[in-house]
Amino acid sequence: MGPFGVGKTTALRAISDTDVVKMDVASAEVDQLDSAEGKTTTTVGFDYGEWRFGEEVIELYGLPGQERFSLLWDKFLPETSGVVLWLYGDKPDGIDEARRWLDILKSRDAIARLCVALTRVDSMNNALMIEYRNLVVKYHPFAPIITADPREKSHVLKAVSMALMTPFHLGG
Amino acid sequence: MKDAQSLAEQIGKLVQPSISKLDDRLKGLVGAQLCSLDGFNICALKMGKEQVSRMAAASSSLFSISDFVVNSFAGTASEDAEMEHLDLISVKKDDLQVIAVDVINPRGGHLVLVVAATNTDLGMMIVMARAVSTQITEVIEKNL
Repeated sequence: MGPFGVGKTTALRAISDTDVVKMDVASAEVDQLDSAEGKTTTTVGFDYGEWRFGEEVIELYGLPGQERFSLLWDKFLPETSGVVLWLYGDKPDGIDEARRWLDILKSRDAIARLCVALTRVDSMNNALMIEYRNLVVKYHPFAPIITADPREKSHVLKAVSMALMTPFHLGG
Repeated sequence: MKDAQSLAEQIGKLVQPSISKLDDRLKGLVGAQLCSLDGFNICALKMGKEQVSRMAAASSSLFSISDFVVNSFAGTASEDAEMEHLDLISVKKDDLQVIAVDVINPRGGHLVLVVAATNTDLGMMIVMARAVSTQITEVIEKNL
């Protein structure tokens, strides 16, 4: 999950062991994005891929980031899912955006297994990480916050693994 | 984005008469909407203001998901290949029939025309919707 253009489809493609089911179309919103250079399409259905290890298969879903597709959030966010929330770490209003997304997840009881992945930010930016930590802890006391590049397979695997391993918590 | 929005508004005004014909010609019409493939409303008929944005997004999702399903069966779905566009979707619940047809946008790409009607012959709906789809393409081509 996460805002339009943050890299959800890219992240899913980075780790899927199968061809990713893509439901992208050319987007009129693309020129709105300063931070999504090279992006020409947007997901209007959902992305689907699989991460396989041994006999285990983790099904991966990527959902559209625009509010108008909220009906898909309602359908695709069971509370038992692990959720990676991808957020822009370099936006001046990043904390407000994070709060909005956490509210979206909480209102759908989809916050029980959560990892917050900040993109486009230096992992050594402690002040920023603390700011996000102080926010996220209000929603889930154990949810990890990491910096990650959605193009890097190892970063995405880490984010997904952490979401799945987060202690189950339905929020207060 | 502003250009895209103003183009959508222009197209909406141009095609309104074509879509309105459905109300005269299709018995039991519940509503109709032309939307972009990325989920924006262009023109709506007999639909509430609060309905149009959500429905446009739902229609584009429906079209996209159906497109994938059809191309999977046809063996033409792949991660990198450009898929063929879907012609028609038909869904039904009790007496309510909803169809979506592809509309070629001569300015580039495709649009989706969704039509909902009750107690109507499916064949008639498809013929009407396709006629309107062709008309929309012609109107855009002539005027933009």
